[in-house]
Amino acid sequence: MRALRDNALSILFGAIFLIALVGQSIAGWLESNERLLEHDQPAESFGSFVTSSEFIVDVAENWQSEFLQFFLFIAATIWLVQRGSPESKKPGDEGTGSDEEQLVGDHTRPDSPAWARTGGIRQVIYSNSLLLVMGAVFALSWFAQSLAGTVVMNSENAQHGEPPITWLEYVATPDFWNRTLQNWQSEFLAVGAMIALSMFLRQRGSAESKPVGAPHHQSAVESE
Amino acid sequence: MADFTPEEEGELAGEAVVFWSWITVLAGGLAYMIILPLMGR
Repeated sequence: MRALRDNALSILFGAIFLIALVGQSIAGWLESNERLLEHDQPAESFGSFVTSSEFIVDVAENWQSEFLQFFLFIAATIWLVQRGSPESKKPGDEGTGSDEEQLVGDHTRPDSPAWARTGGIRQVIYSNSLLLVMGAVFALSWFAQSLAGTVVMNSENAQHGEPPITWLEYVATPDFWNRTLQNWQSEFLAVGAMIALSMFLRQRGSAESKPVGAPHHQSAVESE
Repeated sequence: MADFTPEEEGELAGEAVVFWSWITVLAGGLAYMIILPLMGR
């Protein structure tokens, strides 16, 4: 099947995303019911669990950190380089590039996207569209994490006879920042390690690696 | 390596399907994760 092969990378990650999400929902539901039974409360249905803020806060805190990771990676690699890393442009190539390099305006090709050909605001938006969308998904999933976290905390407060807190009060709590920063630190570690390790290590055949015989000082092949 | 479409054949419908499927997953997931907590679930 040509269509399957042409799109295999997206299909694989879409499939394993769904499998992992279903697995997370089942494991989370079982764990939640164990806790309810320990407190002599009735178990809840699977449908009730997956529509609860308890499930949503766990999903959202991971979403926001992944999209922050790519947002920062895309933005930082415009202006900063790591000599020898295939994840980086080569030193001297920092910046947004000329219209000729970026194939915009008078330098478009017959098959260039329409918004690369037009000037003005549409070209500005399209020139930054990947960063804008990744940033929007980060901001909205972080917002979702804060909303769901507020509901979860207020549910726990109610069980302990404590008054509810507002969303603004929740985003200043250690719970919100613990959930946030525990995800951020692992994303930043992984991106930094990928940038640094790929200077000297190789994976033959991977688009994320330099060719095996490429010298250690060579950055991204396409920026040569 | 025979059964794939060379880049020279241009953009195909399959790529647009993949792109819009991912946009739908992201938009649907975000809407779900924002609306339910706002409803107090």
